[in-house]
Amino acid sequence: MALGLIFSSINTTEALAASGSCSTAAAVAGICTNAQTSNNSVNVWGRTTIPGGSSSVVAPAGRTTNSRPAVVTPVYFPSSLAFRCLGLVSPSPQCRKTPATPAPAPVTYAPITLSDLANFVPQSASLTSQPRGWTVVNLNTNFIAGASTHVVGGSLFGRSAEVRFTPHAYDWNYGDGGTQTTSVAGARWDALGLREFSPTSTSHVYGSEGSFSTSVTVRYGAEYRVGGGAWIPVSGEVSSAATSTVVIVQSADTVLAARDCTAGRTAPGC
Amino acid sequence: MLNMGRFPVMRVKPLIAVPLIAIALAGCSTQQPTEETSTAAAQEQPLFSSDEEALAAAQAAYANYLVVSDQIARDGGANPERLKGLVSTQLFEESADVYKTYKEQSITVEGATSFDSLHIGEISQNSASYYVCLDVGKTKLLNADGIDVTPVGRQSRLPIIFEVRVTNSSATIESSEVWSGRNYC
Repeated sequence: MALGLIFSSINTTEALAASGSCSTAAAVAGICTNAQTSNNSVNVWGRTTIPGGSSSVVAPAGRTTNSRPAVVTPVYFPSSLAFRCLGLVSPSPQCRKTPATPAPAPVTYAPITLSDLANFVPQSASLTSQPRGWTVVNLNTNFIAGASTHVVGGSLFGRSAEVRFTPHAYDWNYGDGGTQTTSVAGARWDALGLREFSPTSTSHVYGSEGSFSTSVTVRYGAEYRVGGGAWIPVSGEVSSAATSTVVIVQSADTVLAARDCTAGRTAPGC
Repeated sequence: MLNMGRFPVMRVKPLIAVPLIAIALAGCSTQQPTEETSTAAAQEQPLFSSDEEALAAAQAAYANYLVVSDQIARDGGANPERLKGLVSTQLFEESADVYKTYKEQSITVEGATSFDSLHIGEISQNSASYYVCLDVGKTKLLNADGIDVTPVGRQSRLPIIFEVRVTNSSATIESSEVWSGRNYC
């Protein structure tokens, strides 16, 4: 249901500005992002962590160590959270998530990973039926889902983050065992130019009397963007929460009556 | 229409050695594009005459891009202008931002990038998109003391979709993005 944007990168804000763009330079620096859907959620990440190190000599393989009093200095890309939080640029509220600057030698320190999480949940559809709330056995009942493309906003590492949901498909459960998937939301009979009880792409025929809970779930395609950049499509679909409505199904007999039965109970035939 | 004959036509290998392609490119770069017609018939001709030609064009352009990018990184971000003409203005500026950081923090990069699994995505009137696996695993970021400061969790193989824009005389990398779908690399 929820879209989870997970960023676990010290340099992610740099990548966010690129909004999916990934130059070779950025790839080498480890500041590119990626996104995938999983169980109706989307994870977006930048696999970068501030490298850990030691105050003792740290040398690439094959080199001999010497007396260099080095502390490995992480690479901070401008606009990255770490860069700001270390006071090199203006501090931000997210800085509380930043562990303290590694102490001077001689100590060892572990890699630092920053993470933030924002949940983006698509809107549920509205659901109406025709006739409204009741229907007749063996006649078509028309269902209409209300769903449209919409944007859900949030923030991530202090930057604006948005997810745009676009309806792709509608999964119907009519409550009597009948189900179907449609690519359209459905429309009212009058809007379709049809007579009442006509079949539509979203209509259903109940074969027996009873009270049935009909529900619809919308499957959305998703795109995301951060910092007002270009929309980046996310592979896969995300389902909304189901919306339900209760329909009372009754039998009906056709009889001849002297006049409108609702107007006079004693009229012949009523 | 670009005379694609100036690009080496070859089948894509599982792993492409960038430096070799750079040499090949250098050998081709002195050739002059042939004259072209501007008739309506010519306008309707496809961008490439075959998939092999489309792949060869992308292979050459992307390899050249990586070679130059590697060289700038090895030089600590100096003279990023070397990318101009090879990539779009936007991609150049994005790259230049990263190289600026290299320069400010005295970072140099050791090693070379490479790519493989090149596939055609879509070919339109004057551009084409491609899928590729970009491998940065053989590169290391070194600080001024020569110490490895490569980000610990850096993704070494990235699924990239890039677009090549073809003009009369050149093929430039218009954009490069991480593929947002399943990681095919």
